[in-house]
Amino acid sequence: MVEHAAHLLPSQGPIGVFIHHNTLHAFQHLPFEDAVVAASGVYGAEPFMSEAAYREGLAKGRIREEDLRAVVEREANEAILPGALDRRTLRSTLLISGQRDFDAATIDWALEESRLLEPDGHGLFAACLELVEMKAVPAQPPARPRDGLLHLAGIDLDEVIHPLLIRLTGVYLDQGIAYWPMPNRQSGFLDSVRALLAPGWALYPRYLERLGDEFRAQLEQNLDAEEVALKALDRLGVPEEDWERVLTAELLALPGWAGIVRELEKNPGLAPHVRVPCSLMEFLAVRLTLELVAAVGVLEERGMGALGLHEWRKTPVSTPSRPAERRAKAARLWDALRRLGLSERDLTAWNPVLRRRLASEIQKFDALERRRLFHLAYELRHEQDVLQPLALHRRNKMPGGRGRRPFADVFFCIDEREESLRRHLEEVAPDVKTHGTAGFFGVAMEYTGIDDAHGAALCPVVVKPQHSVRERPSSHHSQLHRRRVSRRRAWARMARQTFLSSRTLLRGWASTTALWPLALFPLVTRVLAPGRYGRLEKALHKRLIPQPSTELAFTRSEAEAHIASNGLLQGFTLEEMIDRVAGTLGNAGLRDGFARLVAILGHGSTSLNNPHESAHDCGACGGGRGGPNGRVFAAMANRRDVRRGLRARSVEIPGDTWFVGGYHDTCNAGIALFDLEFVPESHRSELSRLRVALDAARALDAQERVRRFEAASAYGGPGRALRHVQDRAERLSEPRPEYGHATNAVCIVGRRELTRGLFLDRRAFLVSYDAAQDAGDSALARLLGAVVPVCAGISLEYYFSFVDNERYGCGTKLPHNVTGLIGVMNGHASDLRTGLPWQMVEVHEPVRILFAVESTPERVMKVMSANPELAEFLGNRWIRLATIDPDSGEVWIRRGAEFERLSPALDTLPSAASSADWFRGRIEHLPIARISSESAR
Amino acid sequence: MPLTPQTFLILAVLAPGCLFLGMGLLWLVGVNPPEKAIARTANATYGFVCLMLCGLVWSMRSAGLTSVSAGTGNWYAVHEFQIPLTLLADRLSVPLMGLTALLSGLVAVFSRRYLHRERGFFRFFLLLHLFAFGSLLVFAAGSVDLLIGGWEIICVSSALLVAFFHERPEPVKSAIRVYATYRGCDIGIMAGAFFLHHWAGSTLYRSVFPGEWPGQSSVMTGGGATLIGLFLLLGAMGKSAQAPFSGWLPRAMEGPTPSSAIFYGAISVHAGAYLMLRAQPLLAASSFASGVVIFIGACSAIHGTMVARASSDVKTSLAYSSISQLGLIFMEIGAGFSWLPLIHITGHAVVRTLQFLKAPSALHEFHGLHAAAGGHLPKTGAHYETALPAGLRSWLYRLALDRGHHDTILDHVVSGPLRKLAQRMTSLENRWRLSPKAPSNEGSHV
Amino acid sequence: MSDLTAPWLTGSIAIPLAAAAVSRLPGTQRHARAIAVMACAASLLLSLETVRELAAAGWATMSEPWVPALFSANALNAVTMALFAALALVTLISAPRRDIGGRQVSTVLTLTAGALAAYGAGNLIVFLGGWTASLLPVLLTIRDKAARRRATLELAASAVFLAVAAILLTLGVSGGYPFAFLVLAAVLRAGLFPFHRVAIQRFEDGPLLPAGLLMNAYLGVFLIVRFAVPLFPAEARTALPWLSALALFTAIYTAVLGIVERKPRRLLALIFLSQSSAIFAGLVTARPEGTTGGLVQWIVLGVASTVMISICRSIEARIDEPLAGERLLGLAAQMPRLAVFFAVSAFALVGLPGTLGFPGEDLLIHGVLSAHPLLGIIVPAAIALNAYSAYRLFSRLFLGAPVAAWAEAPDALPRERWAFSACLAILVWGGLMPSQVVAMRSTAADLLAALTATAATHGTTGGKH
Repeated sequence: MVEHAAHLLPSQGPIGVFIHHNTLHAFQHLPFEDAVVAASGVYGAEPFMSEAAYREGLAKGRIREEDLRAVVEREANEAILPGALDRRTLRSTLLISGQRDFDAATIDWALEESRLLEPDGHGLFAACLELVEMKAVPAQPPARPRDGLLHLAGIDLDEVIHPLLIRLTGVYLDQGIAYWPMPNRQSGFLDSVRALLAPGWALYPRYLERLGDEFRAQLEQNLDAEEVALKALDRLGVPEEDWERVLTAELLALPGWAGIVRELEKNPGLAPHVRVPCSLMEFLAVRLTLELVAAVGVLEERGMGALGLHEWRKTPVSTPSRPAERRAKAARLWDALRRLGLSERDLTAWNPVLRRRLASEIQKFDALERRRLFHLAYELRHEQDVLQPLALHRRNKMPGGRGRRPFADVFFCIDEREESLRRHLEEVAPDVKTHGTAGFFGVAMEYTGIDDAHGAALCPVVVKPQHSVRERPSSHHSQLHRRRVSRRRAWARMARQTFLSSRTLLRGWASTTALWPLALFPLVTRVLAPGRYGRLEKALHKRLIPQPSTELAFTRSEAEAHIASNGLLQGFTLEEMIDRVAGTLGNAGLRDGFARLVAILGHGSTSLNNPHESAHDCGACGGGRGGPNGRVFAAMANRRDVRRGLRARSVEIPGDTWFVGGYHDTCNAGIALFDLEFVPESHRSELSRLRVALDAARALDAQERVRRFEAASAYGGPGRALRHVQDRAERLSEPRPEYGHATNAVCIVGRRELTRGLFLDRRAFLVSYDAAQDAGDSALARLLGAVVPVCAGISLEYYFSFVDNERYGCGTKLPHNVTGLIGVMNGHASDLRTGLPWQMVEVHEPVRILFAVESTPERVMKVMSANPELAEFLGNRWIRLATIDPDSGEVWIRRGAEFERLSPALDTLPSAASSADWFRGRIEHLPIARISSESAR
Repeated sequence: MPLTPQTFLILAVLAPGCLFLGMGLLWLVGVNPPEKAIARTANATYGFVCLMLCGLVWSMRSAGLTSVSAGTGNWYAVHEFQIPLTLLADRLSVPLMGLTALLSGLVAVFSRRYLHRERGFFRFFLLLHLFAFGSLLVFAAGSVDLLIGGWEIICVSSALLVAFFHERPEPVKSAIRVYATYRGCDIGIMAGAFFLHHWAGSTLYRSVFPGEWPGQSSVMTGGGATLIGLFLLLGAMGKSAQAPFSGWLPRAMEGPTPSSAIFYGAISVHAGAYLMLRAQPLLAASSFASGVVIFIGACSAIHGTMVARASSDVKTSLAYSSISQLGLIFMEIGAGFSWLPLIHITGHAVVRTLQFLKAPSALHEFHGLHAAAGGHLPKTGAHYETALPAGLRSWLYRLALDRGHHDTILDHVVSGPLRKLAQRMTSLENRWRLSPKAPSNEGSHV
Repeated sequence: MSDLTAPWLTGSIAIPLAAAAVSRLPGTQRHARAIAVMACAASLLLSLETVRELAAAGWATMSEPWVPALFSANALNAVTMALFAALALVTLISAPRRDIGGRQVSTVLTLTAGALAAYGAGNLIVFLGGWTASLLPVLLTIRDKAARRRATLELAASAVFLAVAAILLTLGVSGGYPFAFLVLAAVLRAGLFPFHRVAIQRFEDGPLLPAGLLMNAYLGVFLIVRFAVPLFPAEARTALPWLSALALFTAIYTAVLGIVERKPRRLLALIFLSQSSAIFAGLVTARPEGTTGGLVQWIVLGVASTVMISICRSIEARIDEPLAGERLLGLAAQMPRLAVFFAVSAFALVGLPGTLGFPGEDLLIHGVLSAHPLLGIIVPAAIALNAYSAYRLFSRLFLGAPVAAWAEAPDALPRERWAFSACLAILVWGGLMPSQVVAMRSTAADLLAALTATAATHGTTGGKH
């Protein structure tokens, strides 16, 4: 039962490794439109954007009237006034003209002071008053004791118990912020809380005076968590059939904390530093004990001790309907009738039955229904704005054969943030070819860098890494490495001491009276000149800490050699390496024709003062940084034996091709390439050409990113923009170092030719795939199986964090307070906030992600239905799907259970000479455009 | 205008106040200036204040003065009861004014980015200016009466900034708590000011504490000095979050990070220490009052450090670390040091501001340190485990976790009884209601 | 005693009275607000002219040219009359439409005329007339029958006491009895303990705006300082300490009640009563700073409470929802201006520096503390509690999550904005440059002191001014 209730809790682990997932995972078995409404009932959250937001979209042309009509056309129809009005007409008229709602609380003001009915509405309004039917709202039993007691005694139990409960959970789960860890943590939450609170000689907060007695009694009877919870439920007067409802409500009172306890229970390894035994049942037991004691305390204090505790269930939570209610409903009806062009005379012409039907039809078309239709129209417009240009681009420029051999192939992650970098790279170096594959490049591993204390999994969360890879100093640099380690240790000791000492009493006295000038310099410079400070820090770091060259330990000769400590395989065997390289290249449809230089760029993000830093990292690396994956991949692909093996699998890498691994930081726009000392002399010129091109591209890319932050004109050319984003990463005061995945909306699975030369505005995940090379659709199945959950998770998390940032997201970042190194609270004692902060999602457009797969509907459906997870995503419409025929270029859109052909409605694409020309000075979402200098070539 | 120290002093104090008034008027007439304009005027103003303070120091040095008082005449007066409008710059107030100007300026620069696109951007800067004006006034005031003016301004701007995110209930409730603590403790400072007037005939520092800081003397001695000293201490305890009134400080962390930094790390919490430093001649005249100050300081220091050690979130741990240092500062003041607490205040303000501003980086920094240390950070808090018996340890931990039970004690001693009394009175009142039935709906339609 | 250039006082009283009659006529319904506003504005102008002439004459008492016996103007009442006319004007301008029908307007106007007449009264009989005229219309508007009956009883008692005192005085009875009746009447009217409940009830059940105005007339304390003390200095000397103790008790009592009160209207009444009792205590301290502080706070209380009460009523008109309880209503998002007006007034009421409340509160505390060094601590304590209550009320009404369904409710309408801005302007201007206001009120305080002193030296116990 607790399991069932726990299902509804947010499944976000410690924030240091942020993994995007569908916020409403628990509702994924329902169709999207039903799920959001059902969830809004459970969480009290918004299902869609506000009606005002959609209306603004309508006014700005983001939604068109034709979209609204098209959406209404797809709904069931019914005649309302025979021959005069049907449901579709009614709905589209009201949607387009903007039906107003009136609330009982403000209707009188509208009638009196704003003279709503002036000059001629009184007659119609009187008629409406008669038509309104009032339904009595049935009284709801309170969901949990707190609700009932709030009514009964006027005291909110949550306010009594939450401060203590939050503090207890906080110190229990703490991973290293508190100087003095909670005693007895290893014995479990309930036991350690009991050990702490049961002994006497202390004061208890108001209403919780009996807490000690209660815990002592539990200890005497030696109750375990489950017994405690059951007893508490029993004493609170909850009958067994209500247990689940009450438990769910109790857990959802602090969803963040309950959720993290649950996550750490399921997967203790998520705890970044200290593993403490977690159990949701124990959390619940403590919670219920507190609640029980508080409930008794409240009743006694209010002189209601004689009342049984079960009384809370008898207080109905309902609001009596008021006379103004009728006026409000009538006003709504009145407004609708006027929009439909019906006067009082028209109304009386119809017989009473029809009149009532009309009224009830209008009442049924409430705000929720309108928002649903608005949302569908909103997505429809988006879909058209993406697919029409894609189809046109495809028609105009048939992808030809292989063409000339490019001088470099560059692999990027499919991440939509890399889209712009790819485009700019191709703009500045048209003879470069770019590819997109999931950013771990098929190399799922547990990686330990020379500076890392522990290994970290660098692969999608659903994959459990089997192999471990270590970075180690090159043999001739081991001396240097030892020095590095010892210097870093010394630095860590010093920094840790300063950190601790400023917080303690006597050492703090010394450091604040004597050493404060040391703080004044960073304070002033970090605020006034963060960029310079960052550069200074880096320069110092370089001077003081030796930089040994390193290599990777990624090979293994024996088939099975587990490392004793973690049970992983040390590195990869030849066969495994061939598998990985062949898999990645093969899925992308690349089997030959490689350039002389191939770069593999993983990505990640570094920023300061940003608890959500990890949410900007690579999703395909499970919220890690994908540089090592690129490096390992390149090293594997450079091996002669691997290439020989690849040839057997019909992947032909020319002998003169050299792979280079690299890392792209999406926040400060840095690009590093690894192991350059091994690059053969013959490839130096290509390498330097590529570096120049990448440098130019990343500056242009920075310029494109900057346009979102402020009016672009303020940052002029690419050089300044690059400096700006570098500063941004170093700024303590910057709540949006980058926008992360915000604005993501599309995932295009297909050849680069489909999208090359198109300005996709950093909104599209690009997955390289060639249906022609994939006769059995096995590559497609692998790709979609990996890509759909990741992209849909990202897209849905952004959707929900945007539509209700307070409940699904974690609100504004500004009051966030890092707690226990596992999450953020607002202020000193709030729930643990899950989801994304407003600063990350503010520019987002909440649409379900649209997959455009270059294949045929039949082939895609075959793959999708074979995979239950994908089938659920698609069947319940959590994602949208379209296909582009690889041969004819025809576009098919999935609607319901059918595919519908896209009828071309576009003749020309807007075009610009370069991306910069298209986006310069514009901050809003931009339509897809053709970058024509490229297409002219 | 002549470049006298007086001019510099007055301009420095008035600048943020005028900015506040100007912005308030703009808002009232419906102008909503862009962020850039707001930020630029803020930077310009604090730059100007810093400049004026430099001018002040320069002109004082060139004239060989150690203190300057500006402003003539009475703000208002009823016969012999006069409230003069006098600002005083001496070796105590100038450093603190400088600190205020510098940190307010830095926080203004910081907030321009931090609060970018926030709905309350304008409101934040408005309140920041009000706060800066209030604290400059507190430090520059030449009399206790004028200090109260600045003191109340800090109180109001604090409460409103804690409630900055007023759409969620917790900040609103915390703000009420902060405001209530401030106002409750302010009774002390008001009474102190009254008795100073009553017995010494004036609240001008120049009159009641003749001489130059440090080493002023006091015209009040004996019981009067003790009483006034204790009343002022009450006021100072509220502002500086000394035990047992420290419960509001962690609650004040509901505001945006930069306001937490400047209010509760840097300026606002030190206002109480400043007041004690100002009133040091009184303490010197009364060993009892000094004893109480030392005692309160010691309690707060121990309390603060204990609680800070058991706090698992960054801002609370910083808040209580601040309290422990403030306790030490109070002890230093009570022990009769002058320069030491001044330096301590300055240093503490600087260090804490930086730490608050960096608070959201805790994760980043900890992971960095952890990796650099090779995965093993020295275990903290171990000496508790070795030195204390288990029972005592767990008792102490619980004391720290429940923040010394101070909230509970206050609840039992002050707010609880008051509330209970009020409830009892209300129920008595209701028994005698004029109308037999309780009125149902308030929104009366007449 | 010099004369005013024209019977300004009579005019300022007669105009609202006439307008009250006019607005009762059928056919004037649509213009009720215009009529009332013009009448109050005229009344305000005439009062201001009186103030001007008084100031020019050095604040000596002046009588009227044609009807000298009825009204006279002095440093105390001229400013008070102008203030009250202004408050009535603000109330009428900002009142929601549903409160501005003919009948309601005439209630407010009669009340205004009555209060003005009582202020200007040259003798106790005229005062009695004004006193009664200001009471009646409000009593008639309490909806609840039982409540009306009992409120009428208690308030009518005050009129009867006053009448008895006047009769005793004309009969030449001296000493204790007439004084006791005067004090009783004053205590009843000022809502001192245990009669505070009348005022609270009126706020809760009655129409809010007239109830607020009626309290703001503040005739109880006026009766004491204007008539009771000068007429009976000897009795006053013995009784005043007790009276001020009672006022202090009321101040703290109502302040304590306020901390658990959940209904905005009752809370407003409690804050009002607490503050006004503190003023009462200040006015009867017989110390210049206490009296001056009381008089300055009188202005602050009048202006600030009028803004707060009017805003509360505006909210009630906009949002028909029970405002009681601990729920945060979150109106600031929709009504930022009303929120700011309310906040500034509330803070001013409890002594925000930069508003007139700061000097007023400062003087008051000093005055009361120097008169009662021990009991006096009640004043800062009561003010602190009121500050807490007022801030809590502000938070409850304006802070919290905005309710989407109330999005129709607008922010301050232009007429409200103008009226409230003017009020804030007075408070802030007075707070930044308090010396003028304080000096002006200090002359009134001197006048009171002089009245008491002359009466004491002459030993006159009978006779009317």
